[in-house]
Amino acid sequence: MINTNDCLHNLMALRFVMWDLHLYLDTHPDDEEKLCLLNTYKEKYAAMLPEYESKYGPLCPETGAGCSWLTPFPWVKGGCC
Amino acid sequence: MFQYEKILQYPINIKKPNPTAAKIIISQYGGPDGELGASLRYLSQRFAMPDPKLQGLLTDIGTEELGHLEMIGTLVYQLTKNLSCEEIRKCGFDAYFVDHTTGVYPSSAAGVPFTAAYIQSKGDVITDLHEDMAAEQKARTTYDNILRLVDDPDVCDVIKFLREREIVHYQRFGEGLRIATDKLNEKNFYAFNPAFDICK
Repeated sequence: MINTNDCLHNLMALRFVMWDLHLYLDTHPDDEEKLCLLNTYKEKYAAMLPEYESKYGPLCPETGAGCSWLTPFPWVKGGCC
Repeated sequence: MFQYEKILQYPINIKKPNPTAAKIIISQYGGPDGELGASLRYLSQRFAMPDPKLQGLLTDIGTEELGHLEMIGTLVYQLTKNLSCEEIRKCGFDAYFVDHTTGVYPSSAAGVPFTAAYIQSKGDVITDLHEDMAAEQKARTTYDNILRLVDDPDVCDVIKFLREREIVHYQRFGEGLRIATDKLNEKNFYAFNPAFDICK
């Protein structure tokens, strides 16, 4: 179940709403209002990401390699699932 | 180009292993209407799409389905952790176990291995989008059936999320079909195939 005190779940929720908007904009590319909303969320995300990565490690290969990348993967309980 | 993001789309934390549930849920990994079929179908069909909106839609939904594949794999993995041989036998998981132990293998609940025969990539815009809408409904029905058979709230929470996403994808594909037909002759949508015929 979702725990809103947890930076993992908060980041997941934000990523989800951003993704859903992205998908909506594939079929409604001229919706300026939704594009604006997505950009607002992107700023929030950029602010939240450092706290998440300091706790759970890098999100993509671009951000880390070696020991920092090789922490338990998302399907392992206690990992980033 | 494909990149991996080291985070699930939705949290999964199964407190109680349950091989009976794993046996059923694995159908959404490698079964006829599962996430592997969905991702392969959309990521294959996208090459025939003449319009970047449809190229984008199929790429994006296909990518999301790979994330869902990961979630189903995670469910099976967590549901089959720390099992005794007694539990494996009692829950009817022994047939899968003998061939795959508690590894994750793309097959249906009935044990049929995944095949590309489950998907079509017809190279026709209208045809492919109809196939995609049907695929999303088939997946939604499969999730409905899983919800009838599984009680654990940790599991059902995740299944309900995945089921909702199928409905949203269905909506998006419907919009994609409208985008495609808007560009065609309203007196005859089938006059030519925009994925193949040189545009008039």
